Amino acid sequence: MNKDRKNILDNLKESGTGFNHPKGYFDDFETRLLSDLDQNAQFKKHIETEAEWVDSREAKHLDLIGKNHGFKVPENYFEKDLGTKSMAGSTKIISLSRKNAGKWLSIAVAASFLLFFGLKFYNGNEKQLDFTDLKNDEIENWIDEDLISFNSYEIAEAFSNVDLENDLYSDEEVTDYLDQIDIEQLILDD
Amino acid sequence: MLEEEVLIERLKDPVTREASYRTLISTHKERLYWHIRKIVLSHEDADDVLQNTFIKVFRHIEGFNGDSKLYSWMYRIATNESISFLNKKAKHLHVDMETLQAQRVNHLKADVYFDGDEIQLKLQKAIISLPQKQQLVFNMKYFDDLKYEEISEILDTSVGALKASYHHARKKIELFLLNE
Repeated sequence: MNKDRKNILDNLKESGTGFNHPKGYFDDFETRLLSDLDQNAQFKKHIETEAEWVDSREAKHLDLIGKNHGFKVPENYFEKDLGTKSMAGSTKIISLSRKNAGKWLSIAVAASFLLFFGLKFYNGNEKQLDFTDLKNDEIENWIDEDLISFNSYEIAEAFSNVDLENDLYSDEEVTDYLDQIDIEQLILDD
Repeated sequence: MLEEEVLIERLKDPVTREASYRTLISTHKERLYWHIRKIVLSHEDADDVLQNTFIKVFRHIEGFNGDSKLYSWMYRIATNESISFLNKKAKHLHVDMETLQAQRVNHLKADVYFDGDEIQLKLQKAIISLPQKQQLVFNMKYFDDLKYEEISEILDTSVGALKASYHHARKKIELFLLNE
C-alpha cells in the first residue's frame, strides 16, 4: 500500500497535467500584448487630451465669469469691520425651556401621526413591479458589471436556493396548459 | 544576475523600454502561463491573467528594487493575479472558493484544451481538495520543479514550512488517488 502510494505520483509526473493550448498561442503573444497596450495608451492619451481641453475651457469660462459676475456690494462694505458688526447686532435666541416644551411636544406628536398614516397610505397603494419598472441605468449597470456574461447554468448555480417550479407554476396549471395545446401541431410548426 | 540587472535598467529607460518588454515577455511567458494555468484551469482565463500579470509588471517595474529575483517577483504577481481572479469569479457567482474550483475542475472534461485521462483529471480533483497554499506549493514543487528557496521567495514563507506543506500535500493527494 505504501509502495503504491509512493509510486502513483512518481509515475503520474511523466504524463504531466493534461492541459494544452491553441496551436501557435505563444508565437504572437508579445505582439498581441504590446499592440493592446499601445492601443490602450493611445486611447488614454486621447482621453487625457480631451480632459485637459475641457478643463482649460472651463477655466477660461470661470475666469470670464469671475471677472464680470454682475453682483454688487454696498460701497466701502469690505473696509468695515465685519466681525464687529455681526457681533454687535442683537439676535433673538429661542430657548427650548420648560415653558416651550409643551408646544414642541404637541408639534412632534402631530408630525409622527402624519408620518405614520402617510407611510401606511403610501405603502398600501404600492403597485406590483414588472420589467418596465427597471430603470435604464440599472440595466446598464447589470451589463457593465459583466453579470450579463453568465450563462443559464451559472445563474442556476448561483440561485440554487430558488425553487422556480413551485414559485412560478403549480402542477395543475402546467397540466391545464398541456391539455389546452396540441403538442403534435407544435412539433410540426417548429 | 548581471544580465538581469541590465534588463531591469533597460526596462526603466524609456528609450530601451519596448525592446526590453519584448525580451522580458519572451523569456517568461511560458513558465508564467503554465503557473497561472494550473491555478485558473481554463486556457481563456489563463490568457487574460497572463496579460494582466505583464501589465502589472510593466506598471510597477519602476518600483522594483531588486530585493528578490525578477522572475520570483513576477511569479508572485502572477500568483496574486490568479487568486484575485478566482476570488472575483466566486464573488460574482455568490459561491465560495472551494465550490468554484470544484465547478471548474468538473468543466475540464468538456474543455477542448484539456486532453488528460481519468487519472490526470483525478489528480486535478485531488489538488483542489487541498487548502489554497498547499495547492500552490504542490504545483510549484511537483510540476514546475522549483527549489524550496525559490518557492520561499515567491510565497514569502520559510523553507521549513514549505517542506512540511509539500509533504502533507503529497500525502493527501496519494490517499485521494488511491481511495476515491
